[in-house]
Formats: sequence, structure tokens, C-alpha cells
Amino acid sequence: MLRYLGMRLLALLPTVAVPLILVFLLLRLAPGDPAALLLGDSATPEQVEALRETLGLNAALPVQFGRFLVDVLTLNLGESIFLGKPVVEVIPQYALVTLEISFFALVVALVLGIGLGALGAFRDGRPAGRIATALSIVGISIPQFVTALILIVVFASGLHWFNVGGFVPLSQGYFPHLRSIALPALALGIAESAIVARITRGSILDVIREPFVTTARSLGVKPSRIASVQIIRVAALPIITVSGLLVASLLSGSAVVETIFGIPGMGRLLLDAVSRRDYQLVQGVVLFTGVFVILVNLVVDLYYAVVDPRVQLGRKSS
Amino acid sequence: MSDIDVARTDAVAQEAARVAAPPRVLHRLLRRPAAVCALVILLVMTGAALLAPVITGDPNAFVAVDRLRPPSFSQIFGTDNLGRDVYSRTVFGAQASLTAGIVTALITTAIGVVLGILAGMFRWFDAIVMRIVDGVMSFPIIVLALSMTAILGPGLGTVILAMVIVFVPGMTRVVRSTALVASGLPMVDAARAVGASGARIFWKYVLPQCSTPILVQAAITFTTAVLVESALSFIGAGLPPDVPSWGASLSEARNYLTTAPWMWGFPGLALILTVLSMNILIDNVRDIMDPRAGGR
Repeated sequence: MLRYLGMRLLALLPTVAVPLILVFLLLRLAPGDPAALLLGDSATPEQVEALRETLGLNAALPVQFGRFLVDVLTLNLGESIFLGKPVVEVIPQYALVTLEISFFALVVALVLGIGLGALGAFRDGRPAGRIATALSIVGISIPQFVTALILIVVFASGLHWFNVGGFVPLSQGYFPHLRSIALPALALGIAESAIVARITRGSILDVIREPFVTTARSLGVKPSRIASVQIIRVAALPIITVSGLLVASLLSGSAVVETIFGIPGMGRLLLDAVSRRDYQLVQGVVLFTGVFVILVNLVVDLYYAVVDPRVQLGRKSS
Repeated sequence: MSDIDVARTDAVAQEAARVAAPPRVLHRLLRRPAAVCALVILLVMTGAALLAPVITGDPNAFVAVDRLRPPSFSQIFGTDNLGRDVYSRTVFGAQASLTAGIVTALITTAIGVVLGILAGMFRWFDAIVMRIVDGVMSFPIIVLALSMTAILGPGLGTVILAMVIVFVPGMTRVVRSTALVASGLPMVDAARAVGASGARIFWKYVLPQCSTPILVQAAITFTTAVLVESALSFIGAGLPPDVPSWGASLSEARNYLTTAPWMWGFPGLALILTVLSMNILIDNVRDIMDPRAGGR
């Protein structure tokens, strides 16, 4: 296991390098002077030259990248021009909101998705199974913002169960807080549940045909027991992997959903930073998100290796 | 090597490729009602996008007194909050969405096929490319697109560039794995044994086996691109405001959700139908390719 862990961490280096290089190049490959971009339109040439000097933009690119790496490792991501605070201090409070919504969305996606997928697999070819499968194809085709709009029309405008556009922080009570993030989490989760449903159905259908299931059936084990104990346990592995992959897609979707519901999360922060041309903040958010997704997938991979020893023996999924 | 031997193994390759070849798959698709419906819808959408200026008027023309009119005979989809014709905006919206989808799918396929085949052929290249692929795949697409908009400015070009960066890894993986499987087939060994050249093996034996998986992945890229473009336009980071797009239309309707449902219903339906049709096609093609994996 330790050997696997070591190899896995080593293999992580080039992967982590991708968001680092991307963020580094983002500002430097932009048309025009990065210092001028950072300072905005009203800057004088002297100010621009001074900032170029402090940012070290006059050095050679590899030297700049070295300094950038040191900055990232020491969590020195610069200052948000608009908010007047270091980027490292701004991100956590927004990140927490997004992570909370994404967590609830993931729960919704897994519950709905595994339910639909299992129905589709165990009732394969029969009406209930067909409907479940059709629902997951339709679900995958409806963008999150359309789901969000439909939820607003039904649950906020129609039934008045929820309010739209009012985020209530946790400090103002647990229930009002949950109520304010329920619709966003639901909108995000429903969209992702379709993907979970398809993977669940596929992996259960694969397992159903395995010899050990036939053996169990021939030994007279009850079908419900085969389904719950043997099939679900083996089919859970691909579902765990997909949950890891879902994180990137959840963070993407949260940018859209947060805009609709006026939630102060990472997506909203990034959108605002982009429209205010707050480049240091943009850099920080992109870097944080990229590294976060990579780490989540590392955890999923390690968990996978613990559950399924074949992974460690070099049987890679690719 | 004798020419007869090469011709023999070539015949085997042709037979194997025939089963998986796109024309054959298309033939079987046409026997499935759902797939035919989906094809018809996609053709209608493409036709609407191509003929938009002919079948409808200026999408930006507005009549201030005709604001928020429900659907009627003269304006079959009604009008929006500025008095613009929703039908004409929906038809022109097809242009933006389909262009984003098709151009992204084409560029992604071209780059992905080259990288995937190189990765499948050279081990050292494979090791590097696959690690980078992991890194790029970890990027939430909207986050990357937004940050690129900050630098390059909003527009179709920026959106497509961001999508290509994020989608190339998926295509590369598909091409690489199918190329690896195809190059392990007995007929490839046979061809190698009778002395066929590397290029000949590649063109005659490996590539034909990959064509349908590549087409399926290109179709997935298309649907994802259409969804992402509309999401970006929805949050105001996609196309410029004067270009009609389904995402932007839905965004403009946010304050009129219940008072003017036609404002978001029609563009929303067009968007869902386009993506759904493509997904149904993808599903059916996969089903034909591998009946066991149906619906995955």
C-alpha cells in the first residue's frame, strides 16, 4: 500500500503542474502588459513600470515561473485589487459555501442516481426499467440552469416553499440557512444524478452477468439478497470513481447555479472577479479549484485501492 | 512478403471494419424509431440554423409597444421584454449553439486523434500525455472559460478555445484506448507477420476500427459544447449580448418566469431537444456497437 501511495503521489506531480502552468501563463500570454492589466486603465506608465519591477516581470520566463512556484507554495497569491484583501484570505469563506452546496448536491445526485440506475438495471427491458433509463437520458440533456428555472417556477413562484435570491448565512440559524441553499443544491444534484444513474445501471448490468451471481442464484440464494449484498457491493466501485469525477462538474455547475440564486460562492466570486478585472483573484480561484479537484480524485483513487486490491497490482482502469 | 498474403489479411481487415464502420452503424440506426426521430430533430435544427435569415426576420428588431406578447398567429413564439420576436431569436440561437458545438467537436477530434494515436504508439509520449490529460480533465470547464474570458475578452472564439482545451483529453483517451485494442487484434499481428508496413497497418487495420468510437466521442463533445456555450451565455460570459443565443434568451427571461413563460420555454425546449436528440443517437450507436453495454 505504501509503495502504491508513493507511486501515486509521484504521478501527481505532472498533473498538479498543469493548473500551475495554466494559471502562470494565463496572465503572461495575454495580449498586452500584465502589469497594465492588473492596474487597470487609469494607471500611469511609471506605475506600470514600478509594478513590473515588483512582480518581477522583467526577468526571464523560467525565473518568473520559479518565483511563482515559491509564491504558490508559501500561499502568497497576491492581493485582490477590488476587495483590498490578500487572495488567500478571501477564498475560504466563499469556498465553504460552494463546498456545502456541492456536498448536498452530491448527496442528491447519488441517492437519485443510484435509485434510478438500480431500477433501470434490475427491471431491464420491463416498463419500469425503460422509464428509469429514459428519465436518465432526458436528465442528462437538461442543463442545470433550465432545471433551476423550472424549480424556481414550481417551488418558489408556485408553491412558495422557498425564496429565491436570498442567501442566509449559517450564523442566522440552521433551518433558514438550509432552506436558502435547498433549491440550488437540488438543481445541481438533479443534473448530475442522470450521469450517476447511467453508470450505476451499466455497472450493475455488468455484474449481473458475472459467474458468481449465477452460482449464487443456482444455490438458491434469494434474489433480493443477491441484489443487495453481492451485486451492489461490486457495482459500487465504478460509482465511487464517478463521484470523484463529478466534483469537477459540480464546481462548474455551481458557478451557474450560484449566479441564478445569488449565492456568494466560488463561482459567483470568479464571475465578479472576471467582470472587475481582478486578475490576482481570478488566478487564485482557478488555482484553488484545479488543485482541489486533483486532490479529491487522489483520495478517490486511494480509497479505490483499499477497497479493490487489484488496483495496487497495476491493473489500471485505462 | 507476397502480395497475395497482404491482400488476404487486408480482406480480413475489411470484413472486421465493415461490421463497425459508420455506414453500417447508420444503416442499423435507421431501423430504430427513436434514433430516426432524433436524426430528424437534429436535421430540422441544422436547417433552421442554416436558413435562419430566410425563414425569419431580424432577431434584434424590436417593437416597443409589443413587449411580452403571448404567442399568436403573427408571432408564433410571442415576444420578449424588449418586444423582440422570440421565434426569430430562437431560430438564430440555433446558429450560435450549433456553431459552438460543431467547431469545438471538429477541432477537438482533430487534435485528440493525433495525440491519442501518438500516445498509443510511443510509450514515453503516452506517459507524459496521460498525466497532463489527468491535470486538464480536473479543470471545471466553466472556471477555465471564465478565466480565459477575463484575459481574452468574451466571444465565440474564447468559448471554443476553452472548450477545446478541456475536451481534447477525453478524445485523446478514447482514441488511445481504442487504438491500443485495435493494434492488439490478431489481424494486425497477421499483417505484421506478412510484412505490411507500419503506415499500412495503421491506415488499413487500426484506424477503421477506431472510427465509430471517435464519432461517438465527437458527438459527446458536441452535446457538452452546446450545453457549456449556453451556460456561459446564460451567466453573461459567453457570446456578446447582441448575438442571439439560447442561453442568453433564458437569462433574459429570468424576471419573467411566470409572467411570460414563452420567453424561456421555446429557447429552452430547442436547447433540450438538440442535446437530447444527440444523446439518443449516441446511446443507440453504443447499443449497436456493444449490445451488452446497452444504455451506458
